[in-house]
Amino acid sequence: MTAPRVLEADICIVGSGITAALMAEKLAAERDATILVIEAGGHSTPLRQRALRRDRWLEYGETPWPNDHLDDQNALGTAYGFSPSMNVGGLALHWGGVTPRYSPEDFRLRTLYGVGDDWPITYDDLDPFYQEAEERIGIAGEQGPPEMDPRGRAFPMPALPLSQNLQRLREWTGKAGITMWSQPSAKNSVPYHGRGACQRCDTCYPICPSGAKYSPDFSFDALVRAGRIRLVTDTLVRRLHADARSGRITHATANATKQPAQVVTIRARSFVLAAGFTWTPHLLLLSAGGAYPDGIANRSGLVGKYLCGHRNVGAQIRLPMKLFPGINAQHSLVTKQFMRPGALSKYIRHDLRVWESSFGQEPRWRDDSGALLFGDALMNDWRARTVKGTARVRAYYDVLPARESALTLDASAKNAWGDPMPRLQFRDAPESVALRPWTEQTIRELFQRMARAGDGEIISSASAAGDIGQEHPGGGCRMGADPATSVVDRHGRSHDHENLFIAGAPTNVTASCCNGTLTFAALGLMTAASVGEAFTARSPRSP
Amino acid sequence: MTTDRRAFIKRAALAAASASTIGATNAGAQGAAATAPAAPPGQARASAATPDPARPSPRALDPALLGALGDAILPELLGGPGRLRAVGAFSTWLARYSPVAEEMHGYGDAEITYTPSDPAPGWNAQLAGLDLLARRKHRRGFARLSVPLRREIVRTQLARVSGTRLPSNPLSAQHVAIALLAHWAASSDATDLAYEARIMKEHCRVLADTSRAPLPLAATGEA
Repeated sequence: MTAPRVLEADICIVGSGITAALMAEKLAAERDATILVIEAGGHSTPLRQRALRRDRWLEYGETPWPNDHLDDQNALGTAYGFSPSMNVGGLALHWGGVTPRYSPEDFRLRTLYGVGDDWPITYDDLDPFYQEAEERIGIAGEQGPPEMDPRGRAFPMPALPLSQNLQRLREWTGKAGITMWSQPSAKNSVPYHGRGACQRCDTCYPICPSGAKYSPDFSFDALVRAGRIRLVTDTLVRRLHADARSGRITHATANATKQPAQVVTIRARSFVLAAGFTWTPHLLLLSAGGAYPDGIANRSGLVGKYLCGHRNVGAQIRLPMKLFPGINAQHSLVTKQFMRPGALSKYIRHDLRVWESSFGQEPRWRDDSGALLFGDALMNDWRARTVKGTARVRAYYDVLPARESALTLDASAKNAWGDPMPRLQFRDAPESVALRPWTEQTIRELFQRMARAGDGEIISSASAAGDIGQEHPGGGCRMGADPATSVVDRHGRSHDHENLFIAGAPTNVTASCCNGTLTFAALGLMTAASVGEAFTARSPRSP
Repeated sequence: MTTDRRAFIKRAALAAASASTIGATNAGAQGAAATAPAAPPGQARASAATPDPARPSPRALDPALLGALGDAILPELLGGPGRLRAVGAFSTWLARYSPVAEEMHGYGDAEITYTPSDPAPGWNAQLAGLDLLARRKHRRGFARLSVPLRREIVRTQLARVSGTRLPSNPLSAQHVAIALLAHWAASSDATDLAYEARIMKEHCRVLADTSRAPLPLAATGEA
């Protein structure tokens, strides 16, 4: 029989993705508190190995992040948007580093447009935490026109420069009446936080070999080296336990994943769940029992509900201009013009990005007549198709979640300890179901207008499939002012348990129409500010 | 996908990987790559790594037949040395391949997948097939035929292969000829030749140069 292991701290953070990393940084810097971070997985590829892992990925498609998951932890159902990554750094080890903010409208959809729900916070409430996230991560960005791209202060780094391809494509989108600028990115445009500038290696996703792109393990490594946090890996938290009278979370229980019989008890004054939109509600539902038969933090019955995300419409547009794909292939232009549409007679909001592309210019070994191409014939055919350029365009559009867009426990699949796995079922709210065909058609018409403005043609078009899940998912523990209609308050504090906080993606009310990571991180920092209030401020002279 | 299924696939993949690397002298290549110090940023990717001649790969293709194939189907503008380099890079790439390694799972991919099994036996058989066909049709080995006759033989074999575009990953090629072309075409140098400019895709490059147009190839003194 293995003796139980007991871990104690002032603050226990469950999960070690980007939200957890920034929260741990902030709390360690600002509060006199012991901080314990618990991660179910282990460490993945360290920076010193990333150049070679990148080569293997380029050459053979091998994962640069081997064994970044646990074999018996997985989501079922419409799981597109879910990643099995469970390791220090979470999914943000292999993110693309794309960091737009939501727009002010996202927080007031019911008030402004009569659809979806308002958040209990405004854009202005979140602005300082957006700024803090941008500074902690290190974001290189260009200030867009203030009416489209409001922000309190400047980006911490100048924007990544536009390649000649993107400069030419920006001239083209200007002709179509679209104002675009450099996509804000978590990539150093200048040396920052001890890491060098981007070298446009073109593999930001899935792996940056130089460390110019932020990944959360950088924060954890620094905090552990400085002795500011304790990071415990390979430990799966399986239950939270709450006092029936006070509601306070007394402890959590976990198992060591490499020694499944090893039980770990975790005691802390405050618990923070920062385990993403799947594993956070999953843990709360798994913790049902005693005075909490429907799960922890679930008096509203809304834990796991209102999963949200968005879908996209994309196209490839051939244009009469010579482009050179590969100069900085993952960087793009962006606009918020369509996220801030003003008054609308019919609801539609979407982002828009434009990339250089080599679509339609790929080398081929057989021509249109079926003749085989060998030798210089192959090269001549390839060259002939590079005379014109291709732009990739894509718009994420707003999808409003139904209450029954939900995560539930599915007993048909269990892990080594018999815990049922999560089943995801994304469902659009009725207004989104009704709007979807028109929304996608409107975006396709925009692409056609763009093509015409550049004397170009659409050579490929696609919409995201509707029944596989959604992109940049969040929700499952939505925030709100009313405990009857939400799981946490505006700070991420559970309505039911005063020392339980839920951070980042799960607290989203809606998922906007752009990449969500920066917003998840900003929400986490807002929550960290509230978590920290229970602890004394750290002296500036503290080591 | 259920977790049981994922665990089963992983076990099966690991078993297949073990079987496919028994006796393979490069079986440890992946692990060695993973623990070696990183190349400094700014350098090209390691595709040009030279295999250890003292440790011939069990995954080697017949060098004479492969060279003759490369001479017949790779662009003439590469010149003889350029085609030889392309064939050598393909051989090196194949020798360093680790079958059934875990593949990248991207955003939204709950499935864990694995690289294909060793393509070398099939590709060697296809090379042998080219040689056999050459001897039947022309009473000479494939490597001894003129380029036009070699191309005719290759056309005969490829007539039953579907597709138009070269695959971005040579491992998905149905024929060794397509795999060789695909491996060359995926290289930064091939892309530069096609666009007639020094783009250097997938090389780590100075950020400050981003805004400039790439230099034309002639200005860099390259063919």
